[in-house]
Amino acid sequence: MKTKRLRVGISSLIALLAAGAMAQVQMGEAKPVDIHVTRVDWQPAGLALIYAKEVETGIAIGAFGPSRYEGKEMLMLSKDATFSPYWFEKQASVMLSTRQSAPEVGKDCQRVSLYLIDADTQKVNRLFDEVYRPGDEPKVIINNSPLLRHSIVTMRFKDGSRHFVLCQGNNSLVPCPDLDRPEAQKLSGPAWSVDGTAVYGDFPNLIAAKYRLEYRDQELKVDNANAAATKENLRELKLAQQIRSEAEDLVMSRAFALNMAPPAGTDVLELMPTNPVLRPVKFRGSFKPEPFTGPTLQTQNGHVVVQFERSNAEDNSLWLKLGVEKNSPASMVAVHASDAWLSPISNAIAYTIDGALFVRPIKK
Amino acid sequence: MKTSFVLFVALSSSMALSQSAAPKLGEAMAVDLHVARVDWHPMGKAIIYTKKEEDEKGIGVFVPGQRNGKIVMRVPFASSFDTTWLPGTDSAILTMYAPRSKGMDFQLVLVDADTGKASTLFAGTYAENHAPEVLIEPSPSLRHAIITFAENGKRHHRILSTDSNRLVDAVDLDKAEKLGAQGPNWMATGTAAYTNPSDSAHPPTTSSSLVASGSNAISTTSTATFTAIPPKAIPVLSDVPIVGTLFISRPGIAPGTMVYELNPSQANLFESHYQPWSEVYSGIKRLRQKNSHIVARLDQSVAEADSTWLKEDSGLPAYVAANASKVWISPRSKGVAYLIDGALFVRTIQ
Repeated sequence: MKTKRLRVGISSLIALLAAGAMAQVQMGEAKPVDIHVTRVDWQPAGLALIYAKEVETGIAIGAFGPSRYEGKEMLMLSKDATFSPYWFEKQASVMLSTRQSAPEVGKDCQRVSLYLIDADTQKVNRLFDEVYRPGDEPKVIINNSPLLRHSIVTMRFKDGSRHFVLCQGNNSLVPCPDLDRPEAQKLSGPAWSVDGTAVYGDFPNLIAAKYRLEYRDQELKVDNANAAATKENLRELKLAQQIRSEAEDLVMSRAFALNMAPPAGTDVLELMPTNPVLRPVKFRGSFKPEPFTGPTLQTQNGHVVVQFERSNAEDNSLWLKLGVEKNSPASMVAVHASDAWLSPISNAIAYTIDGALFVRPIKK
Repeated sequence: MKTSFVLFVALSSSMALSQSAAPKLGEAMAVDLHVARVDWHPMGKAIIYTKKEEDEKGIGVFVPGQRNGKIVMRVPFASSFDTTWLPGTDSAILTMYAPRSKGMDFQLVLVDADTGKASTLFAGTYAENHAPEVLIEPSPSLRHAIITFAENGKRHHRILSTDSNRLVDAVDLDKAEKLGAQGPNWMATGTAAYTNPSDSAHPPTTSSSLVASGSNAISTTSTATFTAIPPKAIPVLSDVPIVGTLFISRPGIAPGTMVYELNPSQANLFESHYQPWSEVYSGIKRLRQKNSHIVARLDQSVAEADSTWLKEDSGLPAYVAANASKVWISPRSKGVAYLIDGALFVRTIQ
């Protein structure tokens, strides 16, 4: 009996020592970013974030990069505004599509705007801003290059489309009538080349796409991995699922587009990223996103009983766990944190305490 | 054994009953970031704070209930300031010094915490160590103060006029002081009263020095001597040491005595019958900050943190926050401000 107890004791000790020896998540100091923050959107590589904060007159959009002293308000939106960020994959820049009412123009009129925010330099450029009568507003489709700071913007109206291009190195949208041609000829695209340029062509056998969309606010998830969708049934699928226009845009711009590139050597039309014209070229190969190889981290909330003399109080705590097992080692991020946003590649975590946003870098 | 247990329970119960309830705290309000210092309004109505910005220092204001703090002015890092609140209002006068390559800038700035506006009352550039010494004596109820400048061995007075955001020369007061008038004593209306120099009913008996409020205040020594305050003249102020920093001991004057009253808008003196300012303070809590250690656990992982509590000497404590690095309790325990990783939060105390 004694031996058994001893064995159990030793095993527990070994387990505890092993748990203690397991690497925990190492984090840097917390940096305060802003207050009254309600939502955070990380750049896919964790290079920066934008956030929404409640202000008296509406919603302010702020930006923060790890090298910045604190967050900075970039633009103001009305209380009824909706916005969708479209980050560039390799830059701390984001295209922000916004919609808000424009009562100064007319009842139910909608102001549709597009901004380019550089979160690292905390600068903003308004790229597009128009007010439409009810029902006339366009659907805005944004296709960002996965490599360059270059984007194709399609405004889909009832009676046709207008195309614009954010050229590499520029901070303004340039109309691109050349891009009406693929649409008129029913060519597919854009697909993204290994150089980060957009290509258009007839790629019918590649329309069947694997796409996966995780919409950040967790309200909407479209997960049709390995769906053998044709151009037609994809459109039907989209309608059937009644996904929001923003989500559709996201499907078109990111996952879908990345997965429909043709084989190398195919004749394609390539959009010059610095000069928005199409030219016929042999396709040099498709862009391949780098697979994520970082540690698997997850956030978890815990409970804390705080004691002083004979009084107790309760609070919550935010932790980062390394791994997915129940007993994975965890590091406490903060006490009293209410919301948390882990960056997509787990290199930083953002969280709020009573509305104040903090960011802590995660050390590899 | 049984008896002692009952006795213990009884003692514990009586101890618990004798303890006052824990203070009730309002929700935490996020105010601003990178805050270094907080000055509470004496009645807890507002705060003035300094914020370390990238290139300079911001001076901000916050009134509990407002959405957030507001930076009202920016000054160089090397500048320093003292805060003199006008306790009947949400306004304060900042006495600011900013060193220059040769000499220093001196400013008096009126800051209104409610509207978030700052107005310069006085500005000048002086050779090193030649800036005037200033004594600010705020009215207990009006947006009004008497400011004594001591410069090159001379003293002169200006007032913050109730009519405007500017200083008005108080020539009458300069003359009266030369003739031996003493004051200010604050009247029921919040205006200042000065003794009639010819009135022998108030012979100077006690010497006193004048010290402006604030931790790094400039001090100036008055040449006047003052009579001791009769115990019942301003009975409540002496009971509240915190408020004592705002109202400086002055000769006591019997109610009804003929005095010179200072017109708070025009700065002229006129004869009046003295009715003293009085204010009844009741239920003033003296809360103190206490800290304790937190051990947080998640599965097999353990982490440590600090917790901040507020309690009266014989009362139960109330939990304020975790990991607060600095804490400022308002003078009358109407609110508590604290920093978490550089972010300033305020909670009201009910």
